[in-house]
Amino acid sequence: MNRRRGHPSTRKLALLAGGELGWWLKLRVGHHVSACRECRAELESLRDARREVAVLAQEMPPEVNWDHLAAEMKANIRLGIEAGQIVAPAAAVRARIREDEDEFESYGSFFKPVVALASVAVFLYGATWMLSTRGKMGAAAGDVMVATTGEGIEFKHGASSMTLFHQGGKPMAVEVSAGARTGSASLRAQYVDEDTGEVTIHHVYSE
Amino acid sequence: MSTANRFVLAAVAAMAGTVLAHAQVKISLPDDSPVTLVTADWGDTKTSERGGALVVELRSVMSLRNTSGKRVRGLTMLVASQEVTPGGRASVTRPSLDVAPGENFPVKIDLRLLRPLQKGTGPLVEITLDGVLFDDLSFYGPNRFESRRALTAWELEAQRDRRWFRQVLERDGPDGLRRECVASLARQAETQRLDVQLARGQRVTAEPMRKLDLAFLRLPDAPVDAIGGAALVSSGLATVTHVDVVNHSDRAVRSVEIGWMLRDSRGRDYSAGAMPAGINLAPKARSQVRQDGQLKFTEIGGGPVSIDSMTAFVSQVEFGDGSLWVPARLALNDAVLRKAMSPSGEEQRLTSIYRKRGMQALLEELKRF
Repeated sequence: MNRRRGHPSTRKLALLAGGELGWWLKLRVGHHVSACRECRAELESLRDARREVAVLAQEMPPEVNWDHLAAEMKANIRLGIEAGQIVAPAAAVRARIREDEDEFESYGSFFKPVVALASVAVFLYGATWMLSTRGKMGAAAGDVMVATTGEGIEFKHGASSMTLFHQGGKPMAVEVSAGARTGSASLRAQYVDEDTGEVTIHHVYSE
Repeated sequence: MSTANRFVLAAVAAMAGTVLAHAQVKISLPDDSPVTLVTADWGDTKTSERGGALVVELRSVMSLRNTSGKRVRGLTMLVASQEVTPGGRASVTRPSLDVAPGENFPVKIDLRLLRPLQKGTGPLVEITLDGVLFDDLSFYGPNRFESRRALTAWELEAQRDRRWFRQVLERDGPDGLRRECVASLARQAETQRLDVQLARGQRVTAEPMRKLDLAFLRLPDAPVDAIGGAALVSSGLATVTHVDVVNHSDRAVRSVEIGWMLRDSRGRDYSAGAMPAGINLAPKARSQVRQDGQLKFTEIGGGPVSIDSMTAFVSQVEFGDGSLWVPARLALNDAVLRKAMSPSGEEQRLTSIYRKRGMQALLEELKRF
């Protein structure tokens, strides 16, 4: 679907809906979407579509290994894109890249120098921070926190953390608890391994 | 704790010349432990330096043997690192097991520790046993982290769901069981999941918090009900100030688990997990459950959830004598409760067998125990 100039393409919105956009594009597209009602609506409808597809996928007969099929399709799509880039004339590839870059042309020319300056500033700040904290990070006390993350469930205290990695996908159920009297906090996540069917429950606690 | 089964394993793997120290792992099992360590593979364990911090990625598969005379139904191993996260603990539980005496079974531990450099020299990680549950619901272990209650509740849910699948098979045959599996898989796919974060203590937020009266669901045979309560909410944030509960039964209650369901401003329902709480509740008495800390809910890979309403229900009760109540399977026939309650691990396991290996494999599994 063609979309107006200055707005992210449907392809980018679809990747954002699936959490598959790179961090920089995720930041840019997310920033645009937060301020653009039209794109936000498009993003929501793409998310809804993903959920419906997930439901339909579960209703397929067991003889069809959907996960395997999906992985193969994804691999084939990537392979196709890569093969296309190899065989396509260089000019056509450059034109396509240019087309993608043009989506944000309205403010891209303004952003480029700003981003460059910001990157330098972030680098200098980061380097200063790392030098100043090297070897004494534990001294900085922070809030105790338990959280689900993209990788797993985490206990965090100041600069230290312990992360239990997800076991084969996102957890189906989570349980969170904070004792008013004991000051404790805990988070529990339940997984079922798609291949072995093994059930595993992870739990992080602060005492 | 005694140390007959003590191993100190130095697991070191290099990451492009950034090896800093030994990632020592100590596994301690009591002398009279009903499980023993057969092997522990630490092959993919890595240590690296990132900025001013040491990163340890511990990837291990332990093989344990049931040396007791009973079948093991579940087990919890504790993982602690006093060096890295004093006051912090993790545990890995394997429920829904059926391990005969003399049989081996795997326990996988994949974790990452991040700690400041140049701190301490002791073992980074200590792994101990917190509890083992047997098929007669007897329990072994120090139970420092309520493993007995949790393992027993999961086993009761597992028994309930196995019984339910067998009943469906007897009543409607393999076709009926297939329909049940497909419906369950569809429910699992429909379940809206959230990322959740809990920070202890009150936080200052950019948006003002508004008071939200909680809504309640009643499970048909629940001995304890949630009847009142409130939360303070803003975009994606919630602090549950209190939940009022009443004990309808003639038995004292020592703990309850309160399940949560969130509805966002677009009318989508999310199962937002559960909150266990210790409480001393006499027969027919009322009390309040309080939670300290602020919950933050975000959509998976998305932004904060705009909380429109919150619904609470009692999903588990532990009586004074240690026995437990879990919801009956028939309660899940209610469409709203089905949305609110996540399927048990056993239901997921059984439907996963159907999806991956087909009906015949599921029928064989249901005959096993």
